[in-house]
Amino acid sequence: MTSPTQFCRLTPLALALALAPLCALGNPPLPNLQLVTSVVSINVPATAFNKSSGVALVTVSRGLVLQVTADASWKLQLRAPDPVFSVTGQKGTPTQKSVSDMSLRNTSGGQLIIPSASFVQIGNGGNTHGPQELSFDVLLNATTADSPGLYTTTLELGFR
Amino acid sequence: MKIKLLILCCAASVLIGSPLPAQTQQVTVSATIASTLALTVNTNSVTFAFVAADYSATTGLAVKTNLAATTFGVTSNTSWKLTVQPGGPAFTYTPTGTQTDPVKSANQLAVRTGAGAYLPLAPAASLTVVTGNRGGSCTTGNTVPVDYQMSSNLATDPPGTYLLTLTYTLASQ
Repeated sequence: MTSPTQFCRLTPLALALALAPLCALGNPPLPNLQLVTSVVSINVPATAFNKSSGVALVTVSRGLVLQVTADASWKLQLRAPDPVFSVTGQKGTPTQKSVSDMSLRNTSGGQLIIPSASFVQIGNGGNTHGPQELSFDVLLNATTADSPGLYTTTLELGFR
Repeated sequence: MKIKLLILCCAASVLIGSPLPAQTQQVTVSATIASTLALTVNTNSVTFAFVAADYSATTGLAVKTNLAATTFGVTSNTSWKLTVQPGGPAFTYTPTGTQTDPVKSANQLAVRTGAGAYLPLAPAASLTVVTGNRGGSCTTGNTVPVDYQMSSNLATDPPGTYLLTLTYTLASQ
């Protein structure tokens, strides 16, 4: 049987250790990835098309914004599970539009990243000393070969 | 002591544990591509100058052509058609002297694209000149030169200036 003296001696340590997991519940474990943007909307107006070539290049500045928090080295990867956009509301002959018509531009390096079926690294780093924002411009290349409609796809981000 | 050890073991497993798995997040990208239909033309004026030598001495008829007098450029992301409609059933007439208006019918002007037959304008209806596919004006078939042919008859067309406005319309089909 535990004596009252023993009980008092164990309490601070037991409390500290018992509270540790509870404290961890309040803050997400590191590393952590948060989406500031979960939907990227791109609008290609009729005026965006070059009359001669029929090409339209539309840029959504800071179209994809993320927040990473890490206390050690991390890397961020991206992929597009589907190779083509799914299309709704299309008029005329159906179009298959490749997701490679889309690219991301790293604002710091100006690097263009084309999503593909396999993961490509879009960022890395070390201890962030708190939340660090990452933003990318989203670019879409459209042409008059793309029928009018709503094109959607999903990008998957992997963070470790 | 037993209690102490048990707690420490639990803590160790919480703090060290297994490596954190990669986190994945999904972002939805949606792009709305608007319908685009744009028509350009290189000139808004086509002129025919009939001179005496153009008329047949026996029949009094003259037919003049003006090849590629206008060239249209089409930019569209749908299949399209180009139609033309005259501004009225007849040319407006400004006499050289005191002649009266012969009310020269619009169907005495005809158009064509390519090497096809000339199509007389319908006085009160639109006429399909050409159809095409998606693309910019550099796309084959989306630059459309239009030839014009006008007929005149000494017996019915007094000297003067004949004017007709044509309206070209680009529409998706």
